[in-house]
Amino acid sequence: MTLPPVQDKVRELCGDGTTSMKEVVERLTVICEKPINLIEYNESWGSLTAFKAEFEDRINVYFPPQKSQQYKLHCIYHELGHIYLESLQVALALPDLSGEMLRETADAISITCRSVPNHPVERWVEDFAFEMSKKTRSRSSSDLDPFL
Amino acid sequence: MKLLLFGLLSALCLLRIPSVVKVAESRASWVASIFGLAALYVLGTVTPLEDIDRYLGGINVTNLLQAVFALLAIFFFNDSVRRLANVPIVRWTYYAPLLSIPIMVASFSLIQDKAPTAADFIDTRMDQLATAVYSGIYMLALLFTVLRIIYMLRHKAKGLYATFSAGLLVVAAAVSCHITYVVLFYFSPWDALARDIGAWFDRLFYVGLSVTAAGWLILFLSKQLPRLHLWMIDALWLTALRMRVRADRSRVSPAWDLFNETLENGVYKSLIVLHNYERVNLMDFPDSVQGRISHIEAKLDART
Repeated sequence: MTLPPVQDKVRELCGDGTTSMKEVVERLTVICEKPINLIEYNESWGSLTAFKAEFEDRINVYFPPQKSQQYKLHCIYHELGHIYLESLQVALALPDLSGEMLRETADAISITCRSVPNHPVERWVEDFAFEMSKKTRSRSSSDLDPFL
Repeated sequence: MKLLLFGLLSALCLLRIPSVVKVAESRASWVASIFGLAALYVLGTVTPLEDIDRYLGGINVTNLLQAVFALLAIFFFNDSVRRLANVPIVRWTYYAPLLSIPIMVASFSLIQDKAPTAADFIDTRMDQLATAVYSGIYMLALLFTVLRIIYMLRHKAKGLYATFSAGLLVVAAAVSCHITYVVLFYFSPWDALARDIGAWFDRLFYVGLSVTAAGWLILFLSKQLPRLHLWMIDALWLTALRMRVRADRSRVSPAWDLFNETLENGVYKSLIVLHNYERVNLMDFPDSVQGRISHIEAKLDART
């Protein structure tokens, strides 16, 4: 499985400057031609940190309540990475979901989730989430000063 | 003055190695400082000029090398400024200074009686057309590039960046003196006046370059020291925690992230890895550890 370079794809999606999660969701909505809903889901999550379910008319990204805002955003960006990668026609890793989650997503046409395995696709979307975090932490852009 | 410049450039080269590994955009300016060091080295700043030139045939090839290295240094410095000022590459202005190198090599080879090794190699052979072309083309290429850099920096020339422009203006004045010297000496009868004007080159050139390099070093330290102060302890603590709890599959990953990322990005990555570790193992860190992690996250949130 050959995956495209993460940084190139992030640049294609968001350009060279800074961005926000709202902008990324809007751009992915255009690419996927479906609304993307971010849903905080207060159930038993076990070791899962987030998952994405695609329906005929929408894509839902579910995530648990988190004390850490950075980690919550990272987990959401990870799922947005799956959505983006899927739009690039790349095969995905299959998730393991609890019965509750399967019931919730009974009429979904595909599902991916973030369970931190060492799979190439999971590594790609994790790198995607990391790159997105750099682009949303706006003041770190001074790192690009070619003299420093 | 040459030794001071060599020291400033050496400090910049060493201090910027981590930044060059992490940020591709900063590589051109680092390569510029390497060529600057090479140019100063072949001038005999560290090893005696005679010793270096003897290995190269004893016919002042060091003078040619110094000119080529200096041109390459200023070329890559120009490229950094171009990136800083977001100026697109315009081919003829971008590559034109490099075209001077083959002309310099050809005219250098035509200079008669190149031996023995001498620091005043140019001055003692200025009666030859080949020397005038060699030295004149070198200085014109330098002047063209330096003026172009000053022009690109015109909107950035505030605060510490202003020292770049100030230093480069002095370099431009020095180079102009040398061009005037070449023209007057070869094409007019006023040799003494030409030499007087030419004598200002050495006085101004290395002062200008030293001001530019000092400004660069001050800019670098003023940006890096607060960042080091803000994140270094947190980065080391999080890396140590990742290693202690074995949060990574690979034992080298925590150290690699510390080296391969900026400190702030390294801190972020460590936080994510530690949260993943808690999730996968369905556990929470003790309150003291959790408290410190929350404190670091609050710092990171404040920058988002």
